[in-house]
Amino acid sequence: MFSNNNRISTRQVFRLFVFDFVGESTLILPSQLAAFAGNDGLASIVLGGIMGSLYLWYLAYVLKKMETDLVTYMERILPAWMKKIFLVLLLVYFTGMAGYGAYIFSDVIQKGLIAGEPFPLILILVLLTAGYAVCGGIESRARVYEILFVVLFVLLAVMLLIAAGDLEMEYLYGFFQADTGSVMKGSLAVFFCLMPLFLLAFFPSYVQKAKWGKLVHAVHAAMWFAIGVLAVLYVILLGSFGSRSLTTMKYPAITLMSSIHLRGSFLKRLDAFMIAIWFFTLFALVTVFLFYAQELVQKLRKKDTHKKWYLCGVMAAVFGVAEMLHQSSHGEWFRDYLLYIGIPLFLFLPLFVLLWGKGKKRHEG
Amino acid sequence: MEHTKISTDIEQNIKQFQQLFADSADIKMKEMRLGKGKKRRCFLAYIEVAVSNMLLETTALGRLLAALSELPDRDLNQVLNENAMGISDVTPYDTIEDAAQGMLTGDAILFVDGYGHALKIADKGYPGMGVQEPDSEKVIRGSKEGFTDSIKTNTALIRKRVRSTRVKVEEVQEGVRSHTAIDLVYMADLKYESVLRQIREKITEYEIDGVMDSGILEQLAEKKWYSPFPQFQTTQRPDRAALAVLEGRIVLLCDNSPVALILPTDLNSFLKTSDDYYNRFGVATFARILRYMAAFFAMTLPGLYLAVTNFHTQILPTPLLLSFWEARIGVPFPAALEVILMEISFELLREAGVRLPGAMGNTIGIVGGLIIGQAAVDANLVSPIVVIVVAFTALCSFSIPNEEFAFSFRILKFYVIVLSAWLGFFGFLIALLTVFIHLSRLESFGIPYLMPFVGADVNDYHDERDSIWRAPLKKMVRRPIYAKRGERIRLRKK
Repeated sequence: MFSNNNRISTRQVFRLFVFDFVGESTLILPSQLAAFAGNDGLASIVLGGIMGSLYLWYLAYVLKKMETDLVTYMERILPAWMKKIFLVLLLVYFTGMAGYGAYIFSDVIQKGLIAGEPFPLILILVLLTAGYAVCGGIESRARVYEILFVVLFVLLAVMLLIAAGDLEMEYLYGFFQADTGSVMKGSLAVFFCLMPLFLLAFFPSYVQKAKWGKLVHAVHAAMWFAIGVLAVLYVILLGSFGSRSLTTMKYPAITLMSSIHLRGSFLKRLDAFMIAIWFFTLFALVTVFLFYAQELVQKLRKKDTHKKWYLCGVMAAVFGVAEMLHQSSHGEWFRDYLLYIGIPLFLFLPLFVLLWGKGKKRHEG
Repeated sequence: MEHTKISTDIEQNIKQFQQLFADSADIKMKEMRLGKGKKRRCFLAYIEVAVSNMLLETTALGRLLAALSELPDRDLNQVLNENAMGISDVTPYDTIEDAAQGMLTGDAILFVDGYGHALKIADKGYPGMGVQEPDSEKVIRGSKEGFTDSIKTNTALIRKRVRSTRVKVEEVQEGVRSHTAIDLVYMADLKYESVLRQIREKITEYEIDGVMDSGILEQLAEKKWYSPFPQFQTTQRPDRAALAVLEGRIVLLCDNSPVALILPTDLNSFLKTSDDYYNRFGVATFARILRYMAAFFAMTLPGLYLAVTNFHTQILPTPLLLSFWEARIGVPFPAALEVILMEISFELLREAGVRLPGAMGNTIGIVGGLIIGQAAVDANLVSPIVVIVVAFTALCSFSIPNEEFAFSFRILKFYVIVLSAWLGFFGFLIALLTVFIHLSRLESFGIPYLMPFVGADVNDYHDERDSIWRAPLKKMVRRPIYAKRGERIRLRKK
């Protein structure tokens, strides 16, 4: 039959990527965009989306030339020592991203739902659940999000529609006031939040070869879907709080949810329920990076037998990263890490590996 | 086990047969003489009660013996060889052990002197209940027949509904001591060969003393034995089983069990009833939505109540919050304990209601639900709101058509309660998510448990038309994913 073949459908790819994009971007970006570009943050979102499209086009082109996923190609082409270095760097990148996701996740939960509980406890529960999800493999994860997608996004759409009814229109006036540099800064922030696009490099082995074109299309559609959600949310947030107030809020989307009043409903506030959206989307982000980090450890160790132990190791590392991020004094290093490890890998590694492969083929031929 | 060939010397056969069934008071063995001159010895063995009076002319056995008594001796062997008496269900055996096994299926065994075979002659068989309406899976519209304890009756009840030569019944015996008959019923051209092979392998994987019910096979064959969710669908309704056969699924019947297993299965199948297909699509869809909601609340409502009242009171409007608070005045237990106590009491009442004889079972439900509930509230042991929450949860769990499936929600309810009581809505979400992840990892013979909510694209999204909503019958033109690819059209205009 068709299950348990380690393959997922394009619909599942679309939904998985939507979850990966939406969580972090809708939580963190609005206040950053407001700080960078104010009302022109909308232009930053669109520009960030265009940059994402270009990056996706570039990555899809490189992967098409490779005819397989990035890691398999690296194993085939690169010398063992170089392959190991890149795998380690990728592992550090994924662990860092999973840690960052886990940190935001636990922070949102602590601030929004259970202020009294210690951060490490929340983090451990999140990671244990994520570990359980990762054990099920990519098919299991894809199924969870395939189901949750409709429920959560219909809910979000309804909430945004209700919130749109209470906008202060004067907050929305005043476009084209930010300078180009600020808008660009905002668009770079949007682009960096689209980093899960890089995961496309690991996907070819999870979909049928014949569906490669459809896969890229699904990821592209997912990215623009997330950009759309972000844009709508940003306009509503601007209209509700104004750009100046927005800059001071840590998670404005959650603040917005607490101010929505559902007419005709007996419930007074819905923020506790609406956190479910970010609960599931951030969870998706954590599991996706945890999943690939575990796969990378497996590639490095070349053993299938200790898969669960590798996962435990990665989870411990992710716990460490998230805990360090939680200590505000250590927050700075994450920016450096993104700058010196994340972004170069994200941007240049696929091209470098492809060119190395071409050079090797030419040399051999 | 060594097998002894049946001899032409009846004395030897009698000796061996009597040795096999020594100290078995229920086994009756009669020696008689056949043929016109009453010279040919014969020996009849049968289980008391399973075989009617052999002299009765109305039974096949009686008629056979009467006819054989009228034949000349020299013709007896030829007549028996050619089954010239026209008895429909006569099986010849070559060994004593096979003959003994044949007799244990509830039929009579006849040895005739000078004839090197034993004949199994079907009679009324073991006593059993007739076809009755099943206790569970009640329907408003549709057949009222239910499966019985007899596997033969059960296969016949399916055949009665699907009168096709393509319906195949494969029989195996399981249980090294019980030799229980197991039938696999399927539609030859619709089923996946790989699924049938897997099922065969699964049910013959273990050597077990006895198979007393299909539930034993179910537990042995389940891949994820630790899951609270059943991975085999059960039914007591022949029409449900027949529908499954028409969908390309395989029905497993076990002798002495009125419960058939349907394989493969998915979560959606557990929330369907037979009359969903007999009623108009609007009615069926409404009922399905209700059942889905019921399943969700059967697991989550007490947990949600605890999360909201203990952790997130800002959600509730002040008057409602105050009425909750007032209702709890004087209750000495924390809310979590109050809910758990009430839930356990309700589960006890349910268990007592099931075990007690008919009328008393109903009484205990009323006594427990109304009187004890009211008394507990009056004594300030629980608040009225908790009674309402627990009663509503129970109502929801009763609305789930499949008992085994409902049970998994009843168990998980406690898991949700504990996490919600500890961590509020975060615990509630963690519980929900882990259940989702678990469900996403389950599968039944290669079919994801969450079909058609996942992987619906494999069958061009046709399975979604028969999920939480049921499309008009005219639109349900394709069989579900269980049917073999290329054999999925089930409805077309003539």
